[in-house]
Amino acid sequence: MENGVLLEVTDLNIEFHDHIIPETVVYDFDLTLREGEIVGLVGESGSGKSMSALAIAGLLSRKDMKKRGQIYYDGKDLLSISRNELRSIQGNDISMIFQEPLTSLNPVKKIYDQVEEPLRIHTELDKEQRYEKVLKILKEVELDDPEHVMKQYPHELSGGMRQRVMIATAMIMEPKILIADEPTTALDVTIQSQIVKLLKKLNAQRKTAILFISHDLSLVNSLCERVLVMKDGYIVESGPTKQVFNDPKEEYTKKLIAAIPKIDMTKVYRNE
Amino acid sequence: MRYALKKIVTMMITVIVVTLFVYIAFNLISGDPAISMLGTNATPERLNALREEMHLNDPVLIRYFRWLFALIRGDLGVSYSYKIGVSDMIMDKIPVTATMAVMAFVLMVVISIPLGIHTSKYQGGVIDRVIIILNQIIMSIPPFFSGILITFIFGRVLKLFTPGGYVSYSTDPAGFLWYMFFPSLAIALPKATMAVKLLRGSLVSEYNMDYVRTAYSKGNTTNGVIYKHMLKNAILPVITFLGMALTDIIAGSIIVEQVFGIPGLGRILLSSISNRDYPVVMAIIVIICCMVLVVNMLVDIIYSLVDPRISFEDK
Ligand SMILES: Nc1ncnc2c1ncn2[C@@H]1O[C@H](COP(=O)(O)OP(=O)(O)OP(=O)(O)O)[C@@H](O)[C@H]1O
Ligand SMILES: [Mg+2]
Repeated sequence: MENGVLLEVTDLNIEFHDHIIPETVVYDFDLTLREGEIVGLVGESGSGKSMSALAIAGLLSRKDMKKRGQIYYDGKDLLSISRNELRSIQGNDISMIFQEPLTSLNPVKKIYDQVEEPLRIHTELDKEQRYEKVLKILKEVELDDPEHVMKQYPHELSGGMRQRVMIATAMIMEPKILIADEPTTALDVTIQSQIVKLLKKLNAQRKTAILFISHDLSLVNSLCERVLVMKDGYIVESGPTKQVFNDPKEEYTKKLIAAIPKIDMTKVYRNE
Repeated sequence: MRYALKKIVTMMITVIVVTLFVYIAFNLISGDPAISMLGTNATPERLNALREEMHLNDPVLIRYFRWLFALIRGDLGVSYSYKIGVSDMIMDKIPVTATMAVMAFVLMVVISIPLGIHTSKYQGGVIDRVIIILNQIIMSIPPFFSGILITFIFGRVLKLFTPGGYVSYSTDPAGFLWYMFFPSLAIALPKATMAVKLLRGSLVSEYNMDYVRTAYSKGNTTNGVIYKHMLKNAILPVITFLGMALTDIIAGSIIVEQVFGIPGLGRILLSSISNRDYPVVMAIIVIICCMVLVVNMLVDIIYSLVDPRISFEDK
């Protein structure tokens, strides 16, 4: 693939067949993700952001849905490779974090086991090596007292800590791509900005490309070089964030931008 | 720790209430134990002498406490009909009934967990549909009838065991276990089908949980997701059921012992009831109550071990 392109999604269509009439929720989705870049995906609720993201992460495998198009990663089309091949990529090269860190963590497993799991699945490391890695990544996501946190259960942590745990789990294999589906929506504002800063840091240090999904345009503006705007299953506008924000072509994008609250969060996030 | 202490205190109170209830009930309904022992044509002098000897003229509460403290020391009283210690009568029967209960419980778990997983994984598959039908049939069958069916199928048709050919554990331990397998199965099957249904439903509702999606996103196989993540969550409601089922099993074993001709607690209980041998009946009831209480406490402990959100300190 050409210079630094990691992921190339072309003509992705997602259809549900769980009703009498099939329902298409994503039409002709195109996305190119290069090494180390952060791409934003915005759009109102129900526009198909999560469905597209889940398809890329290989997490839409329900029998009652159809996916068409190509998702090229590392020379392979993720939509046509075997389940085994896909699994060797999931959590290893491509990871995902979600909106609700509490329900996304297993309530009855210790943090350590959950963060360690990708190592057990994808590597042959022994117990001590795994422990070292878990400790290291928990420090890297800036959790205070990681030795204590790893012995705790999700319900014992705060929302921000849970999302840090999710990020640690997603990053432990040093994936090429991190898909973040509204990772800060469920958190309060100060925690949001901390999580965003953390993602920025990981992106800078490890060159992990991030597909950042959000409702919050000011957040996307501060974080992403490029942005895609979705509406009713279609990408209606895309391009460098600055360009899309300063000179939106679509009425819909203008409306989204106009809806940004007057207190400019951009400054809050940009402050070091 | 405080929670555990509270549990133990509650359990002790329950024991006192249950034993008091049992004692008073049997002393009120049973009439005069002296008459029961000596028969209706005994002379008044002999009856009075016996009443003195048995402290029957003391107030009932004092007698109760005397009986309770004797129980705690392990003295279960003397059988009216056989004039021997109740403990001597039932001690060697407890292992028989306990073996059956434990075996039935293990069978129930061993049958229901794999089937629950399988049917939730392959919903609408052949096994799933067969189980749903079997469920309807077996669930409405009382244990004694499943006992008769099993005697017929495994004993008469397949000739895997000799109905009525009970072997004592002291003479032939292996033969004993083999024989006990069939009554245990009779008790376990109806419970197991319920447990399958419960576990299946519980697992099915877990499939849509967010943490399952996370587990897949790490590269887990479906079996990995089920065994490493879902099972522990899905088993929670089943544990409560299994605890309830175990108490049912202990009670149900009394009937099934009759069907299979097993000299366990059940047989003594029934014959003692018809002989009005109240010390024996009371002792067995108290033993069964204690087993049930212990089981309930174990369920609580297991539950809190499986689910970290319930801690001993919290409640
Ligand atoms: N089982 C289903 N059958 C049919 N349509 C579905 C099904 N599940 C989801 N959808 C539809 O798919 C569309 C896209 O949903 P998606 O979750 O991707 O939206 P989103 O952009 O992530 O929204 P949000 O911002 O609320 O997360 C929605 O209109 C939703 O109603
Ligand atoms: Mg969404």
